[in-house]
Amino acid sequence: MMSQPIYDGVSEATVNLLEAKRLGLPLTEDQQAKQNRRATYLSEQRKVAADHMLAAFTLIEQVETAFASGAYDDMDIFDVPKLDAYLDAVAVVEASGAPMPPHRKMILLDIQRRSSALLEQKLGV
Amino acid sequence: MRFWEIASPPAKAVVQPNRSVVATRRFLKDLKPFLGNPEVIKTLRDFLAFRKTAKPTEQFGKKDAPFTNDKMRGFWHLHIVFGTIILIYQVTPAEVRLIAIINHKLLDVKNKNFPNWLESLTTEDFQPFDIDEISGHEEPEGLSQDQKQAVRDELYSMASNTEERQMLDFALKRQNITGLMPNFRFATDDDKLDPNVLLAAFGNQDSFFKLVSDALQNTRMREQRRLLDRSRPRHRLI
Repeated sequence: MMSQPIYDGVSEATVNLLEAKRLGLPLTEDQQAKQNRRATYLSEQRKVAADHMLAAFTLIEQVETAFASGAYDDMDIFDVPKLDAYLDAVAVVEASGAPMPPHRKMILLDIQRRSSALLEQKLGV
Repeated sequence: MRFWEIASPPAKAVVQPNRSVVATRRFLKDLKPFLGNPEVIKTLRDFLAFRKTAKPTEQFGKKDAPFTNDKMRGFWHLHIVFGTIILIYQVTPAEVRLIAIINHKLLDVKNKNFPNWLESLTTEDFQPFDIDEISGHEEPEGLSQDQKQAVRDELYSMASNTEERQMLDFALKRQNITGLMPNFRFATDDDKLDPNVLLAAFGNQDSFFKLVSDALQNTRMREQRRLLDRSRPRHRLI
């Protein structure tokens, strides 16, 4: 029928489930149980992802506050605490498509400039 | 912003010809102490997978950058662990050249001749390098036919659900399945299912996203028809 979706290569069990949902028919016990397990699993996984992102934002805020206060100005950049985790967290946030605020760009440039200079110095350049 | 938008990195650049990976004898020696460190090996493996096809100027995360000093121009460094374990490498149109891994904390004056050594390197100083061979990595098992069917079923289940449909659309636009992995892990009953294993089971990224696109299209037609039907006047006024 023209008005029906095309379930290309989908198993019969899933077609039955999707059609039952589409037509508002009651689900069997097995179908309902699987739907419940699926919803619980996805909800847990989403919480883990959200917690992970929250931890990244918290760390970013801590490190950037310290940078803004000038606490790291005279420190060997390789000795700044949590910088490895900070850079990973920034990459995760940037990958999400969130715009990068100007102060973070400045901090990243500062880190890159100071770490390159330190490494080059150590390598005898 | 929803969790799956945050969880999905942006689409990678258009794939360029696959570069081969070569390494110096020094690099192979430097790597030995890290062979038992899964984090270092994983980062190195991910980095090489990225560098084989990425644009030469594209960065691998925030810890990868070119040297700026004239003597080191053309060389890059990647902080595998920031400030401690640093890979020095070079990218050419055909090769990723692994030059050295240095432990910054242990660097001393002996390295004062490093730029001269770099300058003296020729193509003959490099040999083919295979991270899997070196680290004893075994390819993970692929998906069974039942698991592949379960993934296909899950795609249509998602496409038939308003919110999850948006997740599919988002993944399709970004050409990235990271945010969809919880669904596929549940469907395949494999908590550790790796995205690369999933894509490989369906041929490659392009063929997998063709499936995503088909699932969206095959279910979208119904919605579009419905909307079209609703907007069509049933009776002429005159």
